[in-house]
Amino acid sequence: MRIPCPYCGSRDAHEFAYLGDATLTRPDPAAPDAAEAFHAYTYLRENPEGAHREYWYHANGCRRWLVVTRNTKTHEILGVEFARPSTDEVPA
Amino acid sequence: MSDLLAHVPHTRLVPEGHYGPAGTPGVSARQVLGLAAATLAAPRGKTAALIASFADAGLPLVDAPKAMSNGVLTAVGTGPGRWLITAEGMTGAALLAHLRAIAGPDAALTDQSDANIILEVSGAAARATLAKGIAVDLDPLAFAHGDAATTVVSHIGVTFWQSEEAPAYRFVVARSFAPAFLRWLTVSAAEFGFALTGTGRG
Repeated sequence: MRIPCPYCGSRDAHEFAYLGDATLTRPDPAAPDAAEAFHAYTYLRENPEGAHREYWYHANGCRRWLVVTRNTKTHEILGVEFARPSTDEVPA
Repeated sequence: MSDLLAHVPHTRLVPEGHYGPAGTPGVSARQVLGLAAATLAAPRGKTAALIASFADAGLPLVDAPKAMSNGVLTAVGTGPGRWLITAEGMTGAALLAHLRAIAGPDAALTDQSDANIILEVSGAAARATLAKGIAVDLDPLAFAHGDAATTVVSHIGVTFWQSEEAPAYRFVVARSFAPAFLRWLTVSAAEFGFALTGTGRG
């Protein structure tokens, strides 16, 4: 599987470290159901079929976190973006 | 592999010499000595301003995996807002002072002169050799003079760029990994005849 890094271009998946689900949001620790919410946030994962947004870290390249949208059945890459959008606007 | 380098300790650079079939080498490599090196990183949100400062100073930085040179300094893009800069005929301290004067107080600058070794690989069979370990397309249509990449070769992290049309490539390898990288390069290039210089006699 190759991942089209927005900075480096097409690279083999072995250059990347996989973190997992990029759709989760850290719960509010002050909420009354915080213990339940953190249990779900930390341990519970869906196993979706088809398109899935997930974090990949380009450890052996540009060292940026990416959000990759990948089809879990075919490994087709449907989209790649930096996890933290750059605030830099660089003229072309 | 083991036969060719059986006499070379794994902890030492592969000694200079000719490896593989005699005759005109298909691949040559030399250690480039006497370069200063530094990493430059823009503060968050200030990449455009940093690029403008360097353009004013005569080094056009590009925020992409490209190598840019003004004759004295060579800057290689290693990540968004980050570059590795090498300089000829300068100490690391002098390079850092020079870059600090251009970049201003907020940019992250680190002397890397002792961190890496730099190898230049060239020759008619250079591409065929590098294709054995680099999962980046080096065909001239995809990777030309001035293109750069940070990747892995034989599990060893490298930054490299095509430094000449001919082609020639410059590799930056962490110093402690350089013996392993040179072993990979030597065994990969030996079938074409491989001339290695600048690494001492072992």
